[in-house]
Amino acid sequence: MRRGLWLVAVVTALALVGAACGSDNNNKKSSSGSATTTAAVACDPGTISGAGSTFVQNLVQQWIKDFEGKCSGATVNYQGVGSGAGIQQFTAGTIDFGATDVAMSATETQAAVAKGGQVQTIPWSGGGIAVEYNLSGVSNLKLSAETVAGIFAGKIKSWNDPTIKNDNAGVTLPSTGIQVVHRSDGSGTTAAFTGYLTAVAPTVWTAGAAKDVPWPTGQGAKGSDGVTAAVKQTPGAIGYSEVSFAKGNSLGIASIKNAAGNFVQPDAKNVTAALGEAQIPPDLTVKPNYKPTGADAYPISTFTFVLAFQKQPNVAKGKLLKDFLSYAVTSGQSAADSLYYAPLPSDLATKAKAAVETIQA
Amino acid sequence: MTVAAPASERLASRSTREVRRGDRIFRGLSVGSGLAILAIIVAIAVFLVWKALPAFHTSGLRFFTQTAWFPDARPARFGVAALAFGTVLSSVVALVLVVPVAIGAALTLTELAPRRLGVFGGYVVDVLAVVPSVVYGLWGVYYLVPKLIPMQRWLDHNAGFVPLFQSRNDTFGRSVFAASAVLAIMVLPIIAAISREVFRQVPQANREAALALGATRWETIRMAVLPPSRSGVVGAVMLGFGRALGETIAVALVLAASFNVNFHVFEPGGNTIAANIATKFGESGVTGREALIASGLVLFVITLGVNMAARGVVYRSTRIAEGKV
Repeated sequence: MRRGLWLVAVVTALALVGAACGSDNNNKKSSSGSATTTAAVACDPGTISGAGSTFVQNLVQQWIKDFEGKCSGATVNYQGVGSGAGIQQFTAGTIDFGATDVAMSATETQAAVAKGGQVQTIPWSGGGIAVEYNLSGVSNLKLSAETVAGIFAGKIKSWNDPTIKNDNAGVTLPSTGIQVVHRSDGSGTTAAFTGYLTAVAPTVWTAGAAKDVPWPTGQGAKGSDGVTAAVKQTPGAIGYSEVSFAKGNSLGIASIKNAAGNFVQPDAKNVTAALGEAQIPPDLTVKPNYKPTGADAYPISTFTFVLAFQKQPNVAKGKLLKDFLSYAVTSGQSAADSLYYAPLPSDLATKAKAAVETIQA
Repeated sequence: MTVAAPASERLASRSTREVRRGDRIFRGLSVGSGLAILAIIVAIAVFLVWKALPAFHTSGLRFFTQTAWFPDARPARFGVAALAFGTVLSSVVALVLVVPVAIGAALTLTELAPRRLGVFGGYVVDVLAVVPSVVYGLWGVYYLVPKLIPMQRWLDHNAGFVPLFQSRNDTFGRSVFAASAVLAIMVLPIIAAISREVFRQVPQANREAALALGATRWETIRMAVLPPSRSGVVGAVMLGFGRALGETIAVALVLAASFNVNFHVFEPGGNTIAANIATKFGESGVTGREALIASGLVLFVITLGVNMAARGVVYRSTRIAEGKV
């Protein structure tokens, strides 16, 4: 029996190590976050919790760390359960704020309003979606919008296809077949990526724009980590994920041709530049502009939102929630870059701050 | 009448009364436990049916024939056909891979290995059972999947005329076969451990009798050990099957999630009900959740069916063994 227990202990320890290895890929730069911000933080004690988007999780965890450091007595919890589950928990009233990559649908809004009254949808960060690839010998792949759409629609099947050659003058491309990898789970990342394809190449990409679409080709993988792992394992593979995953696994990231005709990388400033060209509606459910005209704008860029009830049911919690959200949309924005997110464009950040102020607590 | 009963008689009657009270408590606890299990099963069934009804209402009978899964699209279209097929296929392939190994391992541990080695080997097999399934999944997708590719490619190129071994687009990797290999390793300890206990129950006299008749080791196993163990081993295999049907996260990590009915187990793709619930739940809308719960109901029914079939097989083979049929 002794020996049995020992083995159990060893295996459990191995399991923990395995789990840790699986999850810390993307946090390499998280400790160097926003240490420089000195702005005063409004502070109320208490505990609030939120859940939703996995996309924004790393950034929210950094905000929580910084906010709690400045504000003793305040505890903020966040679980990245997925935007859909976040909306569900928010509507059920089991959390104080939800987070979603895609603004709620009309029916979802209706259900939430019936439960807790008017809902504020506030953009609180943005990010670029990287087109990552595994092609030995090709370090700076360039792709135009039509080429990306053609590849993911299964119309361009090998790497030395004339369309790809056209984008990459002077580069020797192998005749390797293209292996498309996409998400197998529903995802805001997929919604943004297919939204981009639909906007820029509607004749080539006809599978629509949604969290989950009928992919014309390729293999599915679970989560951005799964997609990135599959691309890394498969020579000739191409996939899409948040920038952090591609960077964390040192995969090639394609430069995407924007409306100005330049091939750009999904760096934070290029993403923010693209996000700045979005039309901002009064309710702040802003949709990305996938055809930004700026010289450096990276076109596959998207927003992510926080959900809060306009009239907070609990005054103490409501105050803390306002403090935390104010922090996130102001000083918190400077934490974005080092975690491979993109800060909100300044006019949108101002409007987001104003929206937070209108929350009644 | 006034004569007091002898002391011994009084003691007896008192202890009888106590025994009766003890009996009653024990009976109550046992029946309560039995009913609790029944109540939980019924509660799960009622919950699943109740929550799944809107999904059945949305998709109608096509729920059982359609292969696509877009419950949150407008109009919604989703069906459990590909998922149910993938669930059963991956589990069956896993059993084909694992049953000979598991029974061989159990026989080695009980019949062939020296006693101390057998006991130690038993621990090692049991350890496989305590590894969390997410660890199997991560190991599967990062280690096993790439290692299996050369073998699959060889079989495809040399035995590709068998549809089962054929990959029509010459791609390999995160296929049903890979998922089944991971499942096989996961259910190995269940089947091996139960089979080991079953073989151990065979009276030593049976073996000695066979050996006394001049039987070899193999003949002893075949004549004296395997026949009386049959029902127990079938039960073990069915338990393993049930485990494989319901395995979630390891399969979700390994499979390349496609929604089609495809017997080419080497081609990347395939999906199972449990894995699909795990991957889709987080981003599901209202219809999406209802649809997933409806698929859960189907898995519940499949598992119940498998277990009842197992009961039937065990019952029948026991009767055959006892010479009643």
